[in-house]
Amino acid sequence: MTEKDLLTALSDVDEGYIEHAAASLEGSGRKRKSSVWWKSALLAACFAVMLGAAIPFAYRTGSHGTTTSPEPVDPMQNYEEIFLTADDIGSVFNNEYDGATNQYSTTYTLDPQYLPITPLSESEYYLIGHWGSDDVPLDPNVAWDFFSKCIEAFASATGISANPYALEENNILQPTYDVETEFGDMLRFSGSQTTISHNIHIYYDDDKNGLLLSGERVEVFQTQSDQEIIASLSNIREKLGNIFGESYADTKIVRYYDGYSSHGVSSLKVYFYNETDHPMNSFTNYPISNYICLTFDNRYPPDDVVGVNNKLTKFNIHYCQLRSELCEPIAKVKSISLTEAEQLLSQGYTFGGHSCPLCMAEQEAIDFADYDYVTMRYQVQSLSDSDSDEPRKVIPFYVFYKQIGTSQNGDLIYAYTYVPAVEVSGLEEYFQSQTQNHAG
Amino acid sequence: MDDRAIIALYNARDERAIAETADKYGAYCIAVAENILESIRDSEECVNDAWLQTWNSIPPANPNSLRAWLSRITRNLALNRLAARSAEKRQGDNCAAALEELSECIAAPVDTESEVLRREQTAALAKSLSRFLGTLSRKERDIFLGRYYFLYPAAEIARRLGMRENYVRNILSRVRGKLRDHLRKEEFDL
Repeated sequence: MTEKDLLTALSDVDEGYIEHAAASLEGSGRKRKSSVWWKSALLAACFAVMLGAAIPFAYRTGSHGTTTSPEPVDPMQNYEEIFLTADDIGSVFNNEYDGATNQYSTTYTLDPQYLPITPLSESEYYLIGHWGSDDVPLDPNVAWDFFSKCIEAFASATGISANPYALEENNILQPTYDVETEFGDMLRFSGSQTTISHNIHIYYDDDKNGLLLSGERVEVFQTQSDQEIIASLSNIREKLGNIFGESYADTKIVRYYDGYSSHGVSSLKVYFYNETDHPMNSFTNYPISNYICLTFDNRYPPDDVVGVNNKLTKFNIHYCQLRSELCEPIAKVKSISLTEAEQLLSQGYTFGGHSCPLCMAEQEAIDFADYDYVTMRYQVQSLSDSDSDEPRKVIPFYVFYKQIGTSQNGDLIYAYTYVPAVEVSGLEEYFQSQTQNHAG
Repeated sequence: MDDRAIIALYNARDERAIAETADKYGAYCIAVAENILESIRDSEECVNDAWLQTWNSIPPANPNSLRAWLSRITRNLALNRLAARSAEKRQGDNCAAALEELSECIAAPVDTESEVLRREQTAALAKSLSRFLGTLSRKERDIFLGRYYFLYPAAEIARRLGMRENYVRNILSRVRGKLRDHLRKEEFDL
């Protein structure tokens, strides 16, 4: 057989494949893809409203700090089904020491209500994606227009003029066009255009008084519930949206605790975004569509601010405007039920703990059979694992939480571990090989 | 005009079928041919041949996808024309002309045993390739067919799909590796 035979035989392959390829190659993929995405999202949302039914969810326990717009759309019919192996799953986690383990990680929280627990889906399939696989060439004109508009809008909203600024071309970790400036003494602006996104960070460095933004103070009290914080920041969401030219309907709050400090939360993140902008947004730690994130920093509060009821005023605004899809859904995979996941959990087929054999040896064995909480979450393949030729995978997991103690500052310690939320082949063989690797 | 309506014109032996086909798919077929022949003049001739072949084939043929059908015919004609052109270059104009003249003496092409065998192998290979394409993700398949069916350069595929050229090249490299494994597994003589 020769190359020519192959080329000739391709003329006679299934014409459905030819038709599809012809349609895909017909025009500018990026624009069209985005348009189709929106159309399918809107269409599915319309159906959800028409039917008066959302995607059913199964609750076990727990709560979550989010308000959501109508339930996530389900564009599964647009994707082909693929099948994953345990190797695919293991490769998502750091494999410096030969892959995933059957161990766990730990986290701290003041109260279990602040664990990142979202309701489970009962969808028959879940999407899997590729992370940041496409990019857009840098464009200094676009960068300049974008950053200068944002700077002027922010100056107008705060009443503080920006210092002179200029666009700089850099190539530190990657090629970028950057702008840096200050608004007075307390505000620092940093904008960066990458091939994936425009990112703006505005740092506000006052521990006592929240920034005045168009007459509204940007501040929260960490003793407020998530719902109270969402309500108190609703005007801020609108004003920030006006500055960056966005309109967001949804808010997600994530609280981080360190397990040792006496001042409560170490940081509190408030994401403004639209859940329906991406079909995988429901189960990610942070939005994978455009968003504005307010990160209130409470790592080093001044001495005269003590206790856990302090007002949080020092923050960083991060506006992320994607220039291409951050996570492109590529296929669907058959889901497994919570009961099936619990069986895998009981068999020890879990992923995502420490990958270092020494750390593993130090970990006490934990029986997750009577776990406290379960959620579902997309996990992005860690950078160190990702073959440079291969896009990073994004795969859904069940995450099981179990309280394993209380730290000296009163934070609760939870262990958590991952079980794939989709059908996977070769688990037994994979874990046998892991045991052999770690035994060595 | 809707593809079904165009096919109905062919079935009714209405010559407007060709005009409607040319109107709707002319530029598309020219692009398919030009990717192979890299010559506008040759491509236009090739596409005219494709209209004729389509006219002669429908009926009885009744394609599900007129676009895929036309791309296949145009591609085959272009590949044949390219082979002829290559042979012409190798053998010299005089020899090519002589062969062409002599070919007029043969009433119709005759299937020799080896020709029959070759066609059977090509058909088997095409079926195997279809199976292989079914194992690829949609994106991999579109990129692979973009390169080896439509014969677009990687840079053009990247532009059309809104991707980086390197990414397209990586996908192509990976899919070629998968194809090699697939053909070995199906015991094709590589």
